[in-house]
Amino acid sequence: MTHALNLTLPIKQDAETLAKLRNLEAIFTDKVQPAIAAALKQSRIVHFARVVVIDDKYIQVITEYEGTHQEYTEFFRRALTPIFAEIFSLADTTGLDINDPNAFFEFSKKHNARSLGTATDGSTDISGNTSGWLFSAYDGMTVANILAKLGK
Amino acid sequence: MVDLGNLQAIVARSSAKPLLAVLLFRFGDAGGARSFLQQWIPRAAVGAGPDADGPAFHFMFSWNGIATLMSGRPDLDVAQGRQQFEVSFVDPAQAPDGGIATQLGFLDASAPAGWWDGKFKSSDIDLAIHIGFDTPEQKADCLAQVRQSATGLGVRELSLDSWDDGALSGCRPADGRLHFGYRDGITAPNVDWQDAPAARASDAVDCREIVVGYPNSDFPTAPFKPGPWQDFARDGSFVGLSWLYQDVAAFNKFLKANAPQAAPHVGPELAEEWIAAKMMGRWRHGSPLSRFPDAPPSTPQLNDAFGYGDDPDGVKCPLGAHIRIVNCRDHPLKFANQIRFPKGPPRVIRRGFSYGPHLEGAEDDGKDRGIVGLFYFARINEQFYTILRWMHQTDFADAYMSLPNGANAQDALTGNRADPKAETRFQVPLAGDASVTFQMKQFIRYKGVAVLFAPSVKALNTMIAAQG
Ligand code: HEM
Repeated sequence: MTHALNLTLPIKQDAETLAKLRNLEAIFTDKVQPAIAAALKQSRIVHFARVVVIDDKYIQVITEYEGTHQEYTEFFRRALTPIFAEIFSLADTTGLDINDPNAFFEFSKKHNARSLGTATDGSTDISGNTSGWLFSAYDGMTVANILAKLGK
Repeated sequence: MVDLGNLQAIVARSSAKPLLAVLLFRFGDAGGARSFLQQWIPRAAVGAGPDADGPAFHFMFSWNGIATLMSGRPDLDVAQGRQQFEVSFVDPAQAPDGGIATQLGFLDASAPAGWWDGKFKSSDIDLAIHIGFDTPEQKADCLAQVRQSATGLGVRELSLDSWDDGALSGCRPADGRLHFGYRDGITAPNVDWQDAPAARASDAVDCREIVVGYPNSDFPTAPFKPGPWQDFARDGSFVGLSWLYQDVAAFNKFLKANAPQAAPHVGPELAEEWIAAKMMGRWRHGSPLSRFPDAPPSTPQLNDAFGYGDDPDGVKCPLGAHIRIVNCRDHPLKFANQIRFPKGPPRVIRRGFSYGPHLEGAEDDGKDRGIVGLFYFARINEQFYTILRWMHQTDFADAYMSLPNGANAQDALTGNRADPKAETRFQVPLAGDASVTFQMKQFIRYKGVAVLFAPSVKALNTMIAAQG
């Protein structure tokens, strides 16, 4: 079952944070993007991923991935600790230690925006409530299955 | 290094007490609860020494139970504790009977709505007392005394009238055989309590897999942050208390009905045994298929030093066999899980007992029977829940993708076939490209699951100490 991650963090509006944001933008193509791609490619559980900034006010990490939140939050945290640290440092992270799985889980739960609508495949959110809507052109076929069909 | 003297005995070592019971309680006011515990906690069996004569007590608490006992203490602020314990312990949505129940396989006949005979909910449990007894008389006396003390102090027992003892109770079968006829109690994690990685045996398991309080990056147990709650929790373990019904008639019927499919490969005499062995990964007398793939040795060979590395496709031990899913040993996990479990697949310490009368044959007698499992571990989601998920859906290692609909395949013994996406065929590969496929039935049912915390001896004493 494919799930959506719509992690949406309000960016702190001080000069230091905005300078960090400029830096993240500057290094994204050469440094951040390949590191995320390498981990996600090997995982074979993520369909798509991107990072979006809205008007310097919000930063979003958006992915479509397989499996439950409980199962793979720890994979994302461990595989991408420095990158999450960088992105999260743009937001108010009082009390968050990125090395602490429990704090990371609570933080990502709190900031995962629900998509509008209602899932049609029985997909549930992090607390077991029906997820928002996620369109899939191939009926939720898994990354592993798609890759297998492509002979990869 | 972990001081085993600070652990409750049930975690530190297995016990030979023949009779066992688990009493469940809900607290009234904190004062009554504390008085009750002051009476019984001094009887806790502790450390790794041999069993002493007389009842052996072990205590386990839900977060609500801990919060009730600790409320108002200046040194251990309950609101802080709620933030620092693992979310699966403190958040009802992440509890076994919460919103995540279906991903753990708790649906249909195993759904939480029917648990505990419908008499109470997992979230009603504040305290569980596990007691080991030497004789039936001792058990009767002890249960009566504990119950009298509870009643007098306003601690309400969550009783289960359908059980002879009014509570979960059973025995350690003399020959170690459970209801489906399998011998249990063979494998246990070899925990490195010395915490000396350099001197460790190759099969040793880090103590952080079992007790909390020493978090590091490989085993980031909660409470993660140094402070009073981490100190309180140190040397404690979480426990998945699980009441499981075993449908012996359905199991026996299944073996009989499918024996003709197995017979061409092993002969008619061994056909039923062979199917049972393929489902478990061990012959029913205990010898592992990985070492004895063709026939059981005449005497059980219980040496546990085997792996699956030389059997990637499951020709000796099928990928869907129970013990291959719940501890895949050297079989590679898929990439995401290798990142989650850098030191190997999740492990748990298993204690528990069998309950209900023996049944022969394929006619059900309507009686309740099964196991009460107590699984001990340090991380709820990464160990207990993960093993439950993998039994329900075997998408945890790439090898399963080579099975028909393998990402949705299940544990041959414990899978919950009622999930509409479940793959209910069990493929048993044979040498060459051949295989036999069985259409699986439902053999077990969850009748109640709760996640509790078994505190260290020090923490038990803190809980009953006078306020502040
Ligand atoms: C009625 C249901 C069940 C039955 C009859 C059953 C039976 C068994 C038996 C006979 C063994 C092999 C004995 C041994 O290696 O010591 C075993 C191993 C094991 N079981 Fe179960 N089991 C059941 C449910 C569960 C559940 C719900 C869990 C999940 C937490 C579980 C986890 C394990 C583990 C971790 C092992 C050890 C495997 C190893 O390390 O090789 N079992 N079980």
